[in-house]
Amino acid sequence: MYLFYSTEKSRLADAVLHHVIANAVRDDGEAVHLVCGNYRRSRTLLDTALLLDLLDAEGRNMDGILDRIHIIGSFSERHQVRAAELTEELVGRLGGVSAITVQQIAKMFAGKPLVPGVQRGDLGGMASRLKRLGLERGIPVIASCRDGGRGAPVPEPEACGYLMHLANVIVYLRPTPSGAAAHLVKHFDRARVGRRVEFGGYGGLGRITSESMRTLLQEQMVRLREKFRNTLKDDGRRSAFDALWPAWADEQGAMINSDIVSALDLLLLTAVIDNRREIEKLKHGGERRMDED
Amino acid sequence: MRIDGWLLDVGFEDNQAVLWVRDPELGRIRLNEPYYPELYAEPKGAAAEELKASIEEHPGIRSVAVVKRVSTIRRNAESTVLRIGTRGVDTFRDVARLVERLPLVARVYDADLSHELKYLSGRGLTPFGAITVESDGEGVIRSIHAAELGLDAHPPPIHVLSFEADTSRDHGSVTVLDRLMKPTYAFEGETEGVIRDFLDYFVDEDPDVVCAGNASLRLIMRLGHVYESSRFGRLAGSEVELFGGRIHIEPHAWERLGFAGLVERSMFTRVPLRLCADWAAGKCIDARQCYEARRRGILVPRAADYQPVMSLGKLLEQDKGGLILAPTVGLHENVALLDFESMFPNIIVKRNVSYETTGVAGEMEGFIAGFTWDALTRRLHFKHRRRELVKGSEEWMWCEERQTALKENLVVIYGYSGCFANRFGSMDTYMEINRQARQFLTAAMTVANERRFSVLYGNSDSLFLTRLGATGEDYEALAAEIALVTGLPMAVEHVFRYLVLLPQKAGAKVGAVNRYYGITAAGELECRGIELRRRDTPPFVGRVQRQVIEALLTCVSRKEMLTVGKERAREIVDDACRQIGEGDVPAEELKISKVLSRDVGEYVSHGGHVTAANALSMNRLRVGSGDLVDYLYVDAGNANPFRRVAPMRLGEAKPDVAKYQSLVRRAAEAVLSGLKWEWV
Repeated sequence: MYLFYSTEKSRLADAVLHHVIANAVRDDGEAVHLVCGNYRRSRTLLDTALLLDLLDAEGRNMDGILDRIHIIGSFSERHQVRAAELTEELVGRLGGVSAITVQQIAKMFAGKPLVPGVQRGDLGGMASRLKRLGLERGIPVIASCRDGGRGAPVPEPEACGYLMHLANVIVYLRPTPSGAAAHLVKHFDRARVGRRVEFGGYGGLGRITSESMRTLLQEQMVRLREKFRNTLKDDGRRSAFDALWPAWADEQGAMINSDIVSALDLLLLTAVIDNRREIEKLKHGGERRMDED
Repeated sequence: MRIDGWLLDVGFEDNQAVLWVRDPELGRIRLNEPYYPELYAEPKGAAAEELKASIEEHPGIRSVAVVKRVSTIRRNAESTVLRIGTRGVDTFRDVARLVERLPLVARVYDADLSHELKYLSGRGLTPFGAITVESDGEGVIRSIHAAELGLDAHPPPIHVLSFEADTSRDHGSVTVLDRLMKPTYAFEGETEGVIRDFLDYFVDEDPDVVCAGNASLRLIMRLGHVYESSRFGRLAGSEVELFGGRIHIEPHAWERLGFAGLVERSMFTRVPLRLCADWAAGKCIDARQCYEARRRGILVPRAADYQPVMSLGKLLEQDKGGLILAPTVGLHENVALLDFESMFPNIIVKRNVSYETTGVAGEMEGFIAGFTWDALTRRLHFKHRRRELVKGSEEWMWCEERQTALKENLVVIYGYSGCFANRFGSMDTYMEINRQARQFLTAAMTVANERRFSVLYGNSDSLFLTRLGATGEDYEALAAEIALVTGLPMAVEHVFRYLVLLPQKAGAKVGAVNRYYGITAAGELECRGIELRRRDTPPFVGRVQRQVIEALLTCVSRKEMLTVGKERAREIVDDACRQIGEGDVPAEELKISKVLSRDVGEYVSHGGHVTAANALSMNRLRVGSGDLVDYLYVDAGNANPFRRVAPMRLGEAKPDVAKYQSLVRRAAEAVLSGLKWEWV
């Protein structure tokens, strides 16, 4: 069992989990992902845009790939405890599960209980059951959590002591000016413990945005304007880009309602439609003029 | 003895249910009957008989029986479970906890419901419903019969007394309030005399419902005890317990819904008003679902038992919410707002969408559809009846209060269907309702486009449409045609002379959802999402924004709006800034009011209201989750957050002139932002 943790703001640990999921569904594998969080206290979301980017970057065929990522929502302590049982059922039913990931394993058990009757110790029981399942089936179990805020330079994870005992490998991740650093807190090869690895480019892990499709579309539009449009050499092409903006702003409802999941694909499709509309207008204008002549 | 009256409340004393009934002739009557609460347990890894043998000796258990029951709403098949009867409400919780922890028990049912709900659902009773009871001389119920719920807007003849109390060491006052919470009479003078007089008055009035703030009620209770006067209740920890079956409600619940609305809420929820007056809509729906499930003989699982499991592909494909067509930013003329009437409840009812019917063919009436139909029928009755009455008349008010109370719950039923807190929840049902809603809105758009109307904006169940030269009749005809095509009622909500759809605040040059203002053909101003609609906008700033909008929208043409209107708007803003600068605006007009959504210590980021609440706590004034905090900006740019704001309750403070002037300018800019057409 692996435990990655980082500050909540950097979300590096969650980004690692997204990479794990993308790798797990390679070669027809299946992934079971537990999302633990409650919007009343602290929301936890799977960032589908990042996941799609990671899958897309490897040139995967998207057909059916998303159906091999199975999400179990845990919105209360009781849900999370029961999630172990649901994971067992799912793993048994699916057969080819390559990874079990648990996003923010400890969040639900921090602070005042959301529902009565479940104690902090039950988190250990749930994690233990997942670990046993992983061992029996040969499936890695990878969890993420926040740092607990105490301890320097490497803070402790938010997780309870028993969870730290259960995890075979614990890694602390933190952002650095040049990218991110991973600090090995616990490892079965003791000689490796305490090692720190720097890896460049925050973008290497990917930023978690956890936003709605509407926000993702608008962010993509802004990114295109800042990084693409502004570096176009030709003034006319920049104006042409600007002329697409109203169509993108106006047709977000249609874009969201479609079954296409990539924001860039949706913007390109809308641009094509808008161009077609302009062509039709010009065509009709030309035909009218020919008739008049 | 025969009692014909209205069910006020139900309480419990060990193994007795105590009913309070208001009989117009006999007054408030106490009745009782034996009550032995039950729960159900599903065996795991053992036969039901084995489980039965292991628990039946428990002293808190009165009876155990092996029975067949429907244990899930999605399947009609029966499971073998144990019905465990307890000796009374005092022992119920201990027994439920013990049974739930047994390793031979997979699941418990009906274990976390209130006894009020259990008793009322067992008897098929509705709070404030008319009942006929036969009892013996000691009030023991022999038979009880509930009448059909009527559609009369008049609330039952129940006497309500509203008051507020305030005392210092030697001076006190108790003010009696009318139904609009306006003072009608005040007891004032030396504290002891005031309390004695008020308590005598209370005895004479003998109200069924007491509407008073918790602080006022506690004060009266405490002083009544000090002066050894007759009392009408007692303090039980932080709660106030009223004697004689009287119901206590907080004034804010009364102000929001009125008495008829509160009665309707209690009737919908099927839980006594004493409990449900302040409940959120989700909790009201949960109670009604549990009531209906018990009436249908379906076992009720624990709360928050529902846990969604699905593939990411399905989630992305189906979990899209309602369809929102981005607004076309700018000023538009002659725009109609067409609205599907109660779209989501109608989809549930007309398309029979429910937890057990989603994806299943069959004729069976869906679980949600049943009670949604009941609430929807009642709401539409009161809504339509209201239109026939003189606005502001007593019956108009009752209709308005009732339909508002029902609307509060009806608009949440569909969202709650997929909520994790819903014990019967189903994401499939939630997604199916949304899918159908998107289909209906698309169908409406198609009809509108065929009739050459342009869609300016659409949001889930409404469309903003325009067509050059279209009349009110044209829009009505379009609404009728859409209703015919979709099978859902649609109405023209407004026809706007001018409508301004606003861009997002962040300046992304994209239209903002639900952010607009306009003036209707009848000259009424309609706004959404702008400062003057927000409670945390200082009243003065909100008023200035309204004046700016009026200055623009009362212009006779587009051209005049951009010249004369804009100039008028500038003058209004300049004048408002001058008034702030010269200190002519009272602090009360500049206060910001915000509700604490959680206790002060639980906030991670500290906004103005949290800092103000912290300051109040430091001054030993209690504030917590749900409390309204009023504060002023006094030095908004100060590095010390406690110097930025001042809570109004701590007395006079000098407002930060520059900050308030910037708030006024920002409010005006928000209005004008929609008029910059050439913004791309």
